[in-house]
Amino acid sequence: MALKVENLSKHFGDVNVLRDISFEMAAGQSLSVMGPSGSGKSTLLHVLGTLDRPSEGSLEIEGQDPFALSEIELARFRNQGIGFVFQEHHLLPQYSVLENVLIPTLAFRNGDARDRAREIIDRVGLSHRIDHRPAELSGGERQRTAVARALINSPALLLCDEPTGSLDGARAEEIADLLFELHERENNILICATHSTALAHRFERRFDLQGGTCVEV
Amino acid sequence: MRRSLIYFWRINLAVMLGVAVATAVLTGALIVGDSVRGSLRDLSLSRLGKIDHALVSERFFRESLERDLERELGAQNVVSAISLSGTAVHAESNTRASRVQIQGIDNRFANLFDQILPELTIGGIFPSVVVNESLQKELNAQIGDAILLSFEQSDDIHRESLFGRADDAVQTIRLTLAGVLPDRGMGRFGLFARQNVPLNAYLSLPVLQKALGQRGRVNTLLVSGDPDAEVQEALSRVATPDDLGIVIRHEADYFAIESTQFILKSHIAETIQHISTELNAPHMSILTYLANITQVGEREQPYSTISALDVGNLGTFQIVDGSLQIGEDGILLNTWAAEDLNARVGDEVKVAYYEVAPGEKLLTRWATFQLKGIVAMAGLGADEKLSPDYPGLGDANNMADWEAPFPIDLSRVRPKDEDYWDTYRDAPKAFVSAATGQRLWQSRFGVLTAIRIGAIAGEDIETTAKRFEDRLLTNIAPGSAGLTFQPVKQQGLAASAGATDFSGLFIAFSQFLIISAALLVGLLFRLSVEQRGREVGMRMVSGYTGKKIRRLLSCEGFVLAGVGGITGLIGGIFYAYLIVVGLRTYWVGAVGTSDLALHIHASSLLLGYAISLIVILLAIWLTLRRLGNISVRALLSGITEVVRAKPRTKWYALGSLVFAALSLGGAATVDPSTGTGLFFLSGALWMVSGLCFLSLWFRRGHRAIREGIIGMGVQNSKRQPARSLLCASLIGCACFVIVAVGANRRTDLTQNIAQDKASGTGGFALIADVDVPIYRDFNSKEGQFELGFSQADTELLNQARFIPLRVLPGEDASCLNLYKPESPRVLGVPEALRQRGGFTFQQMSTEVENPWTLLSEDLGTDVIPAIGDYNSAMWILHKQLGDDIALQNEIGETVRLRLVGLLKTSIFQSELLISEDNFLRHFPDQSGYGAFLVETQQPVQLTALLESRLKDIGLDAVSTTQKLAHFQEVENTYLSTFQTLGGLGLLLGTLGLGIVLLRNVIERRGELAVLRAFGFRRAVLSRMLLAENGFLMFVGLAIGSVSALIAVAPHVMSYGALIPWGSLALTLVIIYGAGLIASAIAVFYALRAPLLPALKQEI
Repeated sequence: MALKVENLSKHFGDVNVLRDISFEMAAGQSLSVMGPSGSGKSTLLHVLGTLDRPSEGSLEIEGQDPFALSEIELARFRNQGIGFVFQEHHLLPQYSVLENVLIPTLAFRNGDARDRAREIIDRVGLSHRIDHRPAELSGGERQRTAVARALINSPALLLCDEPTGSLDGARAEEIADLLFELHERENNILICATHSTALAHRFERRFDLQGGTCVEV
Repeated sequence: MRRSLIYFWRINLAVMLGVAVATAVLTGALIVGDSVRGSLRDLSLSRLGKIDHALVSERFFRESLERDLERELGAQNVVSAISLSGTAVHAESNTRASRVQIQGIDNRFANLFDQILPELTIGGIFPSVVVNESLQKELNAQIGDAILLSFEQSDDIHRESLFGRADDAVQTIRLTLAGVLPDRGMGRFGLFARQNVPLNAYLSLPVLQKALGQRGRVNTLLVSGDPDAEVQEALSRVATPDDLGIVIRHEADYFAIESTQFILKSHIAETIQHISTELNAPHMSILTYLANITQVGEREQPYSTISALDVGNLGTFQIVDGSLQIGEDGILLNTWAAEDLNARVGDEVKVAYYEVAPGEKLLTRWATFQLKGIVAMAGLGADEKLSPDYPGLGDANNMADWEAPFPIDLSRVRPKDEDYWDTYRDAPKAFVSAATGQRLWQSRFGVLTAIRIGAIAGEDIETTAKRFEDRLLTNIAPGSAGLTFQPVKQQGLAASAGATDFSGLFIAFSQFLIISAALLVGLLFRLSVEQRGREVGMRMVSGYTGKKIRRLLSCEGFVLAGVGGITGLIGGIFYAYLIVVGLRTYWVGAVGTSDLALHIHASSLLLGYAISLIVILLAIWLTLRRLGNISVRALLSGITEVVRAKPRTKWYALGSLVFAALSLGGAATVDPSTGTGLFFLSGALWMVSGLCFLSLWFRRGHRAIREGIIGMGVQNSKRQPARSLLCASLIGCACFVIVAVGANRRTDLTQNIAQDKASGTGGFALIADVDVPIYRDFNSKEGQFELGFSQADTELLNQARFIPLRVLPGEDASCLNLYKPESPRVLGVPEALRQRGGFTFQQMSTEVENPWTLLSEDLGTDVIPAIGDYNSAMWILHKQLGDDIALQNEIGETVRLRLVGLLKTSIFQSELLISEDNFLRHFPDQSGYGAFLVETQQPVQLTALLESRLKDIGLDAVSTTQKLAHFQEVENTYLSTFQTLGGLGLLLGTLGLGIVLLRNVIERRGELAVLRAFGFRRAVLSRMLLAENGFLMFVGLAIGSVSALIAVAPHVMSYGALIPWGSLALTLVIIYGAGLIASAIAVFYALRAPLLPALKQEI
C-alpha cells in the first residue's frame, strides 16, 4: 500500500482531535475529507503531511514510517514525496510564476527542474503567465500556480486543503478539474479536505470526520 | 488615540526608543560641547583664582610698585611676585623636571586663591619650597627632600650684547621641600591657557630676589578685585622712570637719561629727543662703545672707550689742535691718547672693535678714521660719565681687575693705561660723530647709551629735570617699556570657548548617527503604520479622508516623538556623561586632561529636543505621505507599499550621480581647503546616488530566479523595498563614518622619517627645548667647550648638526591645547634652516622652489611673513593661507604674522615660524636660542648626552618621530571617538536590520510555514533569511564605504599607501561579521517559534 494509517490518534492536552483512525490507500486513489469546522480535518492533513506527529498509531507512506526518519531525512522525504495545496496560495510575491513553482526544488538540489516546471505550468494552463508575479494573476491563476508548485517534485501524496475555498463556482470547478486531471496523470494519492459536497463527491473515497472519528461513506 | 497607543504598545515603544536615541545623540553632542567649554572655564578660574589682570615683564621693577598701584586702584588687591621658568632636580635621585614654573611669592599670593600656603621659610640651612602635586610626582619627592631649582640668572645687560654675560646664565639654588599643593587652585596657577597641569614650585619672594640679585624688585604683578579695572592706565600714573627701565642721573649742569639695561631702546631714545626738542632743552645723544685697539701707524693702545656724539650746545671740548668738524670719517682724540699714539691732526686712526654675531661669536672689525682734532683732558675730553658703568668693568679698581664678558688680553694693558684708569677711569679717549657711531655699533637693543639734557633757557636744571621727567612719564607708556597688563581672566574665559567647537565637532560626526536614528524612527514608524494598513483601509472605507487619517497618525507620532524625546534628553545626559568619562579616561590622549566634568545647559537640552523633534516629525510625515499613494483596496488587503519604481527616484539617482561627479571634478581642481569640503559633498552625493539606484533595483522586476537559497534571500530583499532601503541606508551611513574616519587614521610613523627631509620631521631626528636660553653654538668647538662638553663628547656632537631656533613664549597652537590660542608660540628660523629647506608644504602663497625663502618677503611695516602647520592653522587657529595673526611686540605695538606657507603634518604644530631677522627686529629682548633641531644618526646616544650635560638649563630632547606620533595619537584618539559614534550608528543599523528581520518573519510566517511544508529545513530558512540580511548589509556597507573613500580622496591621494587599508578592511569584515551574527541571533529567535500554528491558520 502507498499510504497506510493505523489507529492514528492526536491529542492536544485533554482534547482528542483525532481518534483511532485507520485506513489504507493505493497509488492513484483519491479521498475527500469532510466535516464541520474544528472537526480535525487540518490536523489529519498535518499528520498525513508529516508536519505534525500523531499521539498514537502509525503512518506509512510508500512503505516507510516518516516519523522514524531524522529531521533532515524527513524534510527530504516531505520535499520529494508530499505536495501541498492550501486555501491561501502563499505564493511568494516577489517571484514569478515559474520561480514560485521552482521553489520546492530549491530545498534540496535536484538538478535543473526548469523544464519540468514549464511542463507543469503548461499543464495548469499558465504558460502565458509564466513570468508574471502573483500580484498580476487572478485568484484562479494563483491557485493553479500553487497546484503546479505542489506537483513540481512529483509527490506520491498530494494533500489539498479547501483548494477551491476562496474561488467562485466556475473557478472552483476549473481547479477541481485540474486537480483530478493531474492526479490521474501523475498517478498519486490525492487527499482533499473540503466543505464542498459537490467537490467531495468527485473523489473515489469519502471520509466524514465527526468528533475526531473518521467514517468512510 | 490613547487606545491605539496602548494597543500597539510594542511598536510604539520601539518608535519612542528610536526618537530617544536620536534626541540623545543630538543633545549629547551639545552637552559634550558644553562640558568641554565649561570644564575649560572651570580650569581657567581654578588656575587664576581671583586674579583678573597680570603683568609679567622681561625686566625687573620696584616691588613697591605693588603698593603704589594698589593705592591708585583703590579697593583692589595687587600682589607682586617673581615668575620664572626653570628646571627642578631631586637632589638625591637626580630625577629632573623641566618647564617648571618657579614663583617667588608671599602670603598675599595665597590670598588670591583663598588657600593657605605651607610656610615658606627664608632662613635655616636651606630655604623651603612648596610644589604642586604634579611636580612632586614628577620628581618623586617627599617632604624634607632637597630640591635643586635652576633658572636663568637675571642680568640687566642683554646677554647677546657685547657687555652681556652669556656664561653665567644659570643660577641654581638648593631648597627643602616643605609642602605639596593639590593640582587645583594655587597649585594649578599659570597665566597661559592650557588644560594640562603645569609643574609649579613656590618659594619665598626674598629668597628668589636674593638668588637673582634683585632685592626689592619683582617681574610680576597680579591684580584682583575688578575685572573691568583700567589697570594699565593706573600703572601709567604710578610708574616711575625706574619702573620703565630709565635711569635719570643728575649732574650739576645737566641730567643724563640712561637705561637700566645700559642701552636706550630706539623708541625711548626718540621720545626723549622729541621731548627735548619740544621743551627747547639742549640735549646730546651718546653712544659709548669699547675699542679693542686704537692704532695710529705702528703705535696702538688697548681697550679704551670711544664715544659717538654730536657736540651741540651741551658739554664742550677744548680743542687743542685741529677742529671739531669731524664729519662721517673723522675722529677726535684726547691729548692723552694723541700723545700716547704720537698722533697728529690728519693722521689715519684705525679702531678695532667687537661685533657680536649670532651664536655669541665675536668678530673683530676695523674702522678707519682721519684724525680731525685733539681735545684737552677737560670737559667731554676727560668725562668718565660718558661711559655706562658696566658691571665688572666700570667698578673695577684696575684694568687688570676687569671681569669682562668678552675675551681680553690683559697682558696688553700697560702701566700707563692703568695710570689713565686711575685718573680718568673709563673716560673715552676717542670721539666720532653720532651718525658714524650708530652706524658701526648700534644693535637691536638700541642706538644710544645715554642722552644728556641741559637746562631750558631761563630755568635751573632741577626745574627742567622735573618738567622733563613729568613729560617723560606721560610720553612713555609702560606698555612700550614692556610693562603690559593682560586681562588674563577675561582672556582665559574667552579662550575657554576652545580651539575646537566640540559641540559642532560632535554634531558633525554624529550627523550620520542622527540621520541613522531618524531613519530608524522612520522605519519603525513605517512598520507601525504597515501593521495598521488594514485599519487605515477600514477607516477610509468608513469615510475618513486621507488627510484626517494622516492627521490622526501624525498626532500619535507627535505624542511618541514628544515622549521619546524627553526620554532622549535623559539618555543624552547619560550619553554625554559616557563621552566625557571616555574623554577623561580612555580617550584622554585627545584632550590631555582628566579634569573634564559634565556641564548641562538648559539651552542645549531645549535645542537638542527641538531639533530632534523636527527631524523625527519630518521622518514621520514622509512615511505618512506615502500612504496617500496606496489604494483603499490595497490597504484593506494589507498592502502598504507600492512596489514600483517611481520616475522621480530615477531622476534623483541620476541627478545625485551627476552632481557627485561634478563636485568630484570640482574638488580636484580647487585649492585643497575648499576641495576637502567638495570631496565630502561628493562622497555624500555618491551615497545618495547609490541608495537611489539600489531603490530602483529593489523595485525593478526580475528576469530570472537566483540559484539556490542565497539567491532567494537576495531576491527576498525586494519584497519590502522601502524597508530594505532604509536598512541599507542605516548600514551605509554608519560605514560612511567608520570608513571616512578610519581612512584618516595614520599609523605610518617609522624611524625612517626622521631621516627624510621631505617628511614632517624635516629630516631632523631630534628637537630639543631648553628652560634657559642657550647662546653658544653647538656646532663649533668653542661653543661645545663653553657649553661644558668634554673632548670625548665632541665626537658625537660633531656627527650631528644643530640648527638653533629663537623662541617667543606663547600658547600651544596644536591640537594638544584645547583652549583657543590668542598668542601662539613663535620660533625664529635662522638663515641656515631657510637655506637647507626640508619639510613638505601643503600650501604656499607663491609657488617657489624653496618655500622657506617666503619668510624673507617684505610685506610692509609690521607685517611678518610666517609659516605654520596646516592642521594647526586650519583647526586650532582657524586661519588660512594669507590670513594674519595679531601679536603684541615687546613695546606694546601690534604686529601681524601673515601665513605665507603651511606645512604638511609637521613637528611645528605648536608654533608659528618667522625668520630670525624679523624675530630680532620685533622681539629684540628675547635673547638666546630656546629650541634646537638636530640632524643625527644617533638620536638615542645624543639625547642622553645632551640631557645629562645640560640638565641645569632644562634641556629636553625629544625624538621628532615621537613628537609627530604624539600629535598623531591625539588625532587618532579623536578619530577613535568619532569611530565610536560610527559604531553607535552601526548599532542602530543592526538594530534596524534585526527589527526588520523579525517583522519580516512575523509577516511571512505563513509563507515560511509553507516552505517548511515543502521540505525546507529550519537551517535552510535561516540561511535564506541571513542571505537577505547579509545582502542588505553588504550593499549598505559597499555604498557607504565607497562613498566614504571618495569623500576622503584628498587624504587618500596625499598619503597614498599610508592609509591603514589592512585595519580598515579588517574593521569592515568585523562589522559585516558582527552584523551577520546579530542577524543570526534575530533569525534564531524568529524561527524558534513553531511555524505550524501559522500553517494551521491557513489549512
